[in-house]
Amino acid sequence: MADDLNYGYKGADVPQSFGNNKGVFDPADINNLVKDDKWTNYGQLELIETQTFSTVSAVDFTSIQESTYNVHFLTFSGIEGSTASNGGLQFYESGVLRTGGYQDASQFGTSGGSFGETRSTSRANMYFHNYGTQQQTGAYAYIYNAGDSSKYTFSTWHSNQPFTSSMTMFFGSGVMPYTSTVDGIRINVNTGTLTGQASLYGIKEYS
Amino acid sequence: MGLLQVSTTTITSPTASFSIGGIDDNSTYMLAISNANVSSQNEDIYMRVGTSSGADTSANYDYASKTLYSGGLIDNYATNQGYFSNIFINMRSVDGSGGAIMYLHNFYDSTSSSFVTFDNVHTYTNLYPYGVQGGGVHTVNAQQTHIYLGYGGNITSGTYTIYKVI
Repeated sequence: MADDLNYGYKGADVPQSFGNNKGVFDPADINNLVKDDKWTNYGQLELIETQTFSTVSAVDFTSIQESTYNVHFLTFSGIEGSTASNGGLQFYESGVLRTGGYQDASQFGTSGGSFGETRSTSRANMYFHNYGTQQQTGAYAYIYNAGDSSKYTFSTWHSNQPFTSSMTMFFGSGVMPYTSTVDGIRINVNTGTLTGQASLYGIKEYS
Repeated sequence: MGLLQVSTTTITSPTASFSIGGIDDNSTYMLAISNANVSSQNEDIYMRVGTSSGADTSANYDYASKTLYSGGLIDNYATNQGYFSNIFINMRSVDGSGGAIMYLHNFYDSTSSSFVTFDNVHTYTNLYPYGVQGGGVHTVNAQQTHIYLGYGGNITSGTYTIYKVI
């Protein structure tokens, strides 16, 4: 603490909050405000981690800061598989990977004009991407409620998949229908390995 | 892409409807929802646009979306009525709280309609996840600064935050 108050002014306790900081602050004041989640820090899409990987069977994000973020944002870029295969998302519950019981529903459509759906009430992951060889695809997903042990953890996703002979769009949503704290996210592939880059962001909210 | 929080509301007790404001220029905005839920089984959460003076209740809300349901038919859904009625439908009122990302386009432009894209998911009454993905438009050329949520039952929980996309 820099002075007789937590933040800034001496002798007058000025209320502080995100977007409404008033006063003259020294570094200790700012540290106190950051610690108390009251410092105005523009940019609420916060990078947690980027991973670049080559020929791995899965990509794990194990420090997702689930107590800080209600909503996470996951991006894929330049991802290709060693063989054509489906893949998806799995979650860690207090450090333990859940490998079954996921539910999802997705819609797909191809540049060739065919459309369809895929859905399941019992899957080993939330299926949201097809990987192809020499096809560097992209995708993104939002993940909701990971840190709330009394709520299910949900996800929505969009991806483009230049799979087989035509480009495929794919969007959907799913749930891991268990009340638990999710503290890790796995990107998996059912067969073969993955090469590419993935980034995990938190969408910060100041209450 | 960056995000700048402009307003947030956390609901902790039964509320029939509420608003979130802060839209004050022609930027694209993003509405993020987590932990949204209702007080009784099968209740819904709908959405309107408006200003600090109130919501626009006219029947000018058009949308088209896919309903993504793991337990049955994946369907098309389109309508025109007095609100966007597809935000969360027939919610399971206990542990199935919904999440959503919605982008808000042209809200502040008084010469344009207001457009929304939906990326929503919650748990349906019977435990299956129920997603809504698509787009909608409020077909009135007017400046909108607020989002109004509710009208389908009492909302009991959730964090609702509007960000400016910067």
